[in-house]
Amino acid sequence: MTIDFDIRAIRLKHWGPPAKTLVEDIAFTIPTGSTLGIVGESGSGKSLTALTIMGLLPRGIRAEGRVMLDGADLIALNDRQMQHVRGAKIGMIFQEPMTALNPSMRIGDQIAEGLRRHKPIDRGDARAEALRLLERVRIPDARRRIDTFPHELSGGQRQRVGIAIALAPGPELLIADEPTSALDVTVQADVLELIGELVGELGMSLMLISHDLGVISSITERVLVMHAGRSVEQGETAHVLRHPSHPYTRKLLDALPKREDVTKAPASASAPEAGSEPTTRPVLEVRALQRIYGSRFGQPVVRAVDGVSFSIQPGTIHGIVGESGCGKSTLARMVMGLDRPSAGQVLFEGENIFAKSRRDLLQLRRGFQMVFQDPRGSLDPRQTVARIVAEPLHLDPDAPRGNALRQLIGETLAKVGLKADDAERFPHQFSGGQRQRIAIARAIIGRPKLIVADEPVSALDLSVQAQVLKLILDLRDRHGLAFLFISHSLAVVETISDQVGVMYRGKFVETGPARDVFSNPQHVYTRKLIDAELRIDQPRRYGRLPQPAEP
Amino acid sequence: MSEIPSPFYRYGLVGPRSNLLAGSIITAALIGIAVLSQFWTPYPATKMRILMKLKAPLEAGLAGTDALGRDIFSLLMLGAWNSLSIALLAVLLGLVVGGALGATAAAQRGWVEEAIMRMADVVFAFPALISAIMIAALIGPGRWTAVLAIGIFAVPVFIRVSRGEALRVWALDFCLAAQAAGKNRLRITIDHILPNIAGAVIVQATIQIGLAILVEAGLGFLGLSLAPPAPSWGRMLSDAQTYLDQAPWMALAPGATIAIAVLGLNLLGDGLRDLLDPKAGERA
Repeated sequence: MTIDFDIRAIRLKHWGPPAKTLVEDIAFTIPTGSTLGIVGESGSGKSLTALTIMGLLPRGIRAEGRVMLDGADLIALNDRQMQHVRGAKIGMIFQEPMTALNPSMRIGDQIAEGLRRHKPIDRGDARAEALRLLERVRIPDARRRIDTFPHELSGGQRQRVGIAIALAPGPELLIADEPTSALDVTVQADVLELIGELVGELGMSLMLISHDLGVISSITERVLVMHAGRSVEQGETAHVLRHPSHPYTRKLLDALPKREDVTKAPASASAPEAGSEPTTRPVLEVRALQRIYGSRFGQPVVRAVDGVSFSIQPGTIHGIVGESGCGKSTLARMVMGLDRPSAGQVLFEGENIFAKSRRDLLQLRRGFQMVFQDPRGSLDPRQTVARIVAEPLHLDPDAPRGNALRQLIGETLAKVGLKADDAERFPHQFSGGQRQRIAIARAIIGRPKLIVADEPVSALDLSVQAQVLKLILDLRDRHGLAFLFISHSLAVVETISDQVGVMYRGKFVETGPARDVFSNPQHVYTRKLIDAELRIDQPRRYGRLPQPAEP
Repeated sequence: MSEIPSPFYRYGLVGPRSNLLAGSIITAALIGIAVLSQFWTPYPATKMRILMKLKAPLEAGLAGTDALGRDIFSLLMLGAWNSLSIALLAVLLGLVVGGALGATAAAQRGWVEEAIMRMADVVFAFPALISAIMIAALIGPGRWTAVLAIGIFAVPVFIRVSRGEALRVWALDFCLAAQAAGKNRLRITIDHILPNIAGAVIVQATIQIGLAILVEAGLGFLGLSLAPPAPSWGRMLSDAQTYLDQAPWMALAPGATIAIAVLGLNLLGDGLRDLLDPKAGERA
């Protein structure tokens, strides 16, 4: 089965205003049994492209052109006819395994539902087939799990169920829209391996959509790069990623966090040499910090943070890397004094923040600020940028007022690369990267010594992420700010940190200078993390591996 | 479809803003008539003219006359003022008390929240009529009885809406950022929570005013609202009962007026919701 996609435009059409063109001139072919990756940043139109094939474009959005599948034009089919194509010939895997499954239906029934819709089989056979599929996608103990509900499974297992549902009717083309973006890096590796294996074994074609170049390069044979609703480059994956011809592709590749940056970026003057005794007093010291949840009412005890110690020297970046649920955000909240530890101390410039009175803590708070993950949620939509940025000054009785304040806000905005007259605008008028800059401006306006940044670039597109990271390095070098930088992304932490701690189940399994930890990992878990990371300089690892005959 | 917006679209008669437009026109007309009634009515509304009694619409006045020969249209105009003022005051009472309690519940959590919400449940379990009868027993029927009864009835509604919305806003990172900046809960509530829940609360208030008009008519019907001779839509309905076969317009006129008023306020509420929170509108 070959799918021939040739779309002139995808347009948004509403009641009256002129149609808005969302996607223009995309054409590609997926021959039987081949894999195509579509890569692009948010808003590039990659998901719309997938939905066009499935005939699932939202109301008011129309595709103009042809999508030929075995000689039939899918665009011309009506909804009834399309139902025989969806699922049966084309299966889809969605990004969010939590919302793609029906929470009130047993997983076995959800798989059987698709089977029975497209094949005349009875309940018993459908169940047996569902069980076989669950075993095929390597759900452990499938016989028992077939009658569980989605919330009883982990994220990775849910995505496996999602894959089983897509596979059930035996499609010939599998469309996966960001299938691993919501998953941890080690789980992502398992899921991609499974998809690759299934595609090879069942002779399916695969269309994989992702913003992550590593994912694309790990599994696809060909790639299409999309930007602002247009296809900018198309070709063999390895070739495109190594020798990009379009400037946009080059820009994307340049934005990838790179290992060499660590050695290039000099630690600031005040930072001690790696290995030598720290001479200055650490700006932050965390001693045997512990946070235990649910010790009352006989609930099982969860040790979210379990005896973590580290210190941060002025003007250095301390990275913490770990997967979801390892306790890194709880740690950040405790360092900020927003959550009380069960045991242990947080010393800011030698003073225990939890031993302070409320008033003294407020005084101390001026010295450390926070930057959050989602720049959409961290800025009050009803306030102007000026009010948002000036918020931390609320603590400061000698904060400037009137014109002096306006000037300070302008200067601070300039420091993060925004314009002074942005102050009177509202957050929704800015892009994601600009909003994160506003959040950083808010953090630095009171001249703090330390900024706690919890996943500050995870919600940003690759090219924007690179700019924000550069800004953080800049603030470290020029203003001597120290950062506690928390991320799930190995590459990002590696690029930016002077010191790192690898966190697993509430504990540091490995700490040390970033260079040493990543080039010479000691702990099994660190090695597992590094192995699971997908880099574009590695050859394709999943799916049918390249045959020598390939051009 | 053409590329040029149709005139129907341009003026909002069809399309995403039609509810808002229709709702605002009806509500504005209602308020206009209510205000006008304080200065001018076609006939002196409370003047009885026994000779003119039970005249059909257009035979005497726009909407005919009642059993005492009063002009029904003039009565409706004055009734609009009475109904609207009671409904507005009652909803304002509910909004201020309920909004404050709801925001407090969301800010304090713990036992304070528990206490406020259970109290809301208890009050919600009493129908407005029962509380009106109780209040009337205490202070006698009248304008303030109606305001108090309908207001108390609205308090739990506003507690729930404002607490729910406030909890949603509290979960957003900018509240954490404000805490990190050292603001206390009251300060965060004033700076961040209230501006962000205002939209939802205003929408609820608009719909609640419609509901209050309906309840006020019910109280008037039972004689628990304004005392005669002050015109009230509810009492006009109860007066019309006896003459249903001879003069159906006596019941139809206030009935239709109440329906249009409630419809207008509900459309306005829906339209405002779509305007203030476009996402909620798409989901609906």
